[in-house]
Amino acid sequence: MSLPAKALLILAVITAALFYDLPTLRTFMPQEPGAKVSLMKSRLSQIKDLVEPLQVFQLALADPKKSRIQLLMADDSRVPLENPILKGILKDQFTLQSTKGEVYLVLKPEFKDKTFISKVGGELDGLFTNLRKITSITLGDDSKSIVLALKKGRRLSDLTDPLKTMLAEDLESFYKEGENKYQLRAKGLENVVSLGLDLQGGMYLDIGVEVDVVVHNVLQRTTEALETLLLDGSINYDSVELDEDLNIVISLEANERLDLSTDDFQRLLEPDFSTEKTDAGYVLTLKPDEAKRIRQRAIEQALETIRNRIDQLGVKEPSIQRRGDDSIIIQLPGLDDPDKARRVIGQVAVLNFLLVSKNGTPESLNDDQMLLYEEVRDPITKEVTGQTPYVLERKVLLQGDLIRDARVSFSQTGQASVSMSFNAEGSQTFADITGANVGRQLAIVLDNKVQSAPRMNEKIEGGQAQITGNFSPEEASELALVLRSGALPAPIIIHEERTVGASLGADSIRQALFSLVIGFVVVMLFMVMYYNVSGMFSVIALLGNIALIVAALAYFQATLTLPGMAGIVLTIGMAVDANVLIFERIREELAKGTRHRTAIQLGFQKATVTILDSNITTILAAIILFQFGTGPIKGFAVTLSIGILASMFTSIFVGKYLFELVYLTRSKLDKISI
Amino acid sequence: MKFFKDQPNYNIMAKKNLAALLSLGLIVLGIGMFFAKGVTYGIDFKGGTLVQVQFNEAPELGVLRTAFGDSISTAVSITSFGDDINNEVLITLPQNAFSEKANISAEVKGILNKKFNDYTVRRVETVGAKVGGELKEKAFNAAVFALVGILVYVGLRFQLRYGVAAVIALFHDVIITLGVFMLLDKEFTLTIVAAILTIIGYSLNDTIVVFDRVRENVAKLPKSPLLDVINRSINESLSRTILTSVTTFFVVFILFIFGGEIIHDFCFTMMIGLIVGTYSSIFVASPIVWFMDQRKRAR
Repeated sequence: MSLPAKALLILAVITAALFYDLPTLRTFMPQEPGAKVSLMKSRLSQIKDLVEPLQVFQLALADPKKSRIQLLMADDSRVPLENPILKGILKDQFTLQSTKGEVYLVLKPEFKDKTFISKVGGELDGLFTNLRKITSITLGDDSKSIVLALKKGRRLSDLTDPLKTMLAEDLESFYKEGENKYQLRAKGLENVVSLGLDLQGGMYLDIGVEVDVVVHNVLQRTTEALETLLLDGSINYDSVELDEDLNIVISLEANERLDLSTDDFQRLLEPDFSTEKTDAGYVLTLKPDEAKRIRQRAIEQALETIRNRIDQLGVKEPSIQRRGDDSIIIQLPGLDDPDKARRVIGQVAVLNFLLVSKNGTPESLNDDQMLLYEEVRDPITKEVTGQTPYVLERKVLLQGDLIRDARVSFSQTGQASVSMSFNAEGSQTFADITGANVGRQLAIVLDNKVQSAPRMNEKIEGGQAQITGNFSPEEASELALVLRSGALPAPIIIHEERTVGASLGADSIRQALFSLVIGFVVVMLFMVMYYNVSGMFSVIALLGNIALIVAALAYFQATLTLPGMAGIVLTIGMAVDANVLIFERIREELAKGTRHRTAIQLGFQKATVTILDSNITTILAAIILFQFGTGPIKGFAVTLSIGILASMFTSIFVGKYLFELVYLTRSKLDKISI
Repeated sequence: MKFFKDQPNYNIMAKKNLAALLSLGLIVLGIGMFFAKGVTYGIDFKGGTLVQVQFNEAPELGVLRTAFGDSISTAVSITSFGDDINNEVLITLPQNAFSEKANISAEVKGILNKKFNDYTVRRVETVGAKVGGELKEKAFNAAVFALVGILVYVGLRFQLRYGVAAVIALFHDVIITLGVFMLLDKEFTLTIVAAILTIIGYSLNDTIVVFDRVRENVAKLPKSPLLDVINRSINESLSRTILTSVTTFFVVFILFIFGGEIIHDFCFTMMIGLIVGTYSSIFVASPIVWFMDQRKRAR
């Protein structure tokens, strides 16, 4: 390859590398103070300019017959027709008319599509309703976000279209439950080396679902249903029990006969159970396939529920994945409250409504009763000070899966509670229960703890219920969140957790970068001292090497972890090895008296074989590390292998080019600085 | 600048018996440490919880220990972490410290709140029994696969006896490094496994450079006895071996000093491994090749 061609190739590679390096470098550079703040300020005023003029509108009434839309406004303000959002919806197909204080948008005569009017009317109405919920648009406390405060208990119903337009591409929004506000933050840059949780702070969770509990519950329910069927059929039995090996054992009284092939039993048992006749009765076993299906469903349901809950936590780029048969891996970068995340993810949130027994004491319970407790808490410190026992009827009347929505509400005294609304089925059931049991107490039980047990004074229609329980506002908001997102099928177990605070991550980055710089300087000085001009070649190669590593990481969207950064630092030390091998060979050849030109050629030639052989083995070790390692260690393996690959290019190819350029082009070569 | 004014010509192979004695001694000590002290597994492998807490003022470790001792019946390890000015403490709890479903971080905070109020929890790591077992298995597999891969690669590129010698040298490095590790009561974690695998890669790199020379010189000087060829090869690559080891050691040492407490043990292991690995590529791997060659000739 000719010299100019080589130069071109190297230039192309370095340019490509720099193209990928720069965005990453920018994120690592200490930002000039206030850069982000001033960006947010300018975006804030843009958003204000867009939203505030539109807040004068109250309603848009479409009247397709008259080809117009009436706009109801709060006052006599001008209609901001030049507003980009409005323009986007009207598409220049309407003219403004105002008569007798009434304002109309009239479809221009050249457009005849009447359905368009209702569509635009609907869009406008949605937009206006949404925007009027916004009470203020301000800069967040840290001045790095914009906060849209909403009226109490409101939520923007549709953030997708009009609001998306105003957020443009560089902001994303998160809803903050309990604070009635949306927070808008700058989106992450693309094509940037993403930082591992150990560097940017965040939480890694590997959780399992106790799927066996789910299987057990299914069997328990089947057992109870069987017993009911036996009772209904007036069949005399000794017992129907779930044994330790999870078989349902039916023991009948002597001389009693039972036919499991009747419709009722078939409905319950087919096709999930295999039955076996015994002397005393039957043994029913859940088929392995069905048990497996139940487990699968439980994990999927847990995944879905957890996803719902995390969506509402407002984490920037959460990742929730299933691993294997029984694990869920959750990664929450940049999390500010790990405790809350742990609570919200881990709460089973099974909500049951049960009647408080009319008679019965904690000491003497009958088969249809059970004992649960309500925690008594100090109204001010919210600390648990004791517990009140409740004797409840076992039968669950209504469950949390019929909840349509749950919100935090506040009483006049400022006490937080959770208001739930049921769906149609739930509303009906709730009305039936309250109607049939006027005067009795209905216990609201969450995860086997009584939250409250209000007395039913009348039939409650409309499907609204409230949980009051001496909550702090945060607790109420967390409870509303988990109730909205549904219950977990079973308790979860934390297999593995790694949580790093943001400040610790920042410290790690600082320390690793500092080591990187110092390491580079030391190696550079050493190489220049030892090999003089040739040493400088190796320094250039080393710089190129680092540029390539960072570019490769950015290109593959790899995650940089703390061990990964250590890998880069280590690469600096090891990458010069290739140079050293080459230079030593050249020195050797020179010592033998070989002509300078030939010495350089031979040095590169002979060293290349060694470099390949020795580096391949290191890469081998790195690949194995990658295969078996987890998170951070994978990062180390990645940077190490990329570093070694890059070092082969920079020291052999770039290094050779530098020698050729500086020495081999000379007509008379009698000295090499090496 | 040069380490050696002229091409060095030390009779390194003459020291092979001394080296063998030293290596065997260190290996015996390493294995002895394993039986005498055993590996102290970190939470990655044995399960448990580790909480890194930063206090505003230097906490009394004694007070901390009492606070935990009063609340938990199991043994809790509380040590200061990193530079004293950081006021950081590392609390390591065994797996059964709290009930299975407890929110561990909340429990730890509850205990801390009784005595302290100005602190931040900077890091929480929990590993359950299941994952601990998996990780152990993975680490073991990684080591086995690495060694087999190396044996095959070196065996193919050179000759089988070179591959065997390289792998023996690697065992030598790993056993001695772990021996030092156990001697100093360091905790064996996933990061340490990574460090050891890196040492394997590095030490092998060194060894291959020497082998490469041997291969070249055997072809060049077919009549010389192998011992002389090996000696010559080691000498020829000596300044390279020293130079590369020095630069690598420098950067690891810098990471050790400035890289922060979290990768402290990683760097420490690497430093030990670098020294042992450099030594083994000169004094262990090549003599083994010679030894195996002798045996073959004798037959």
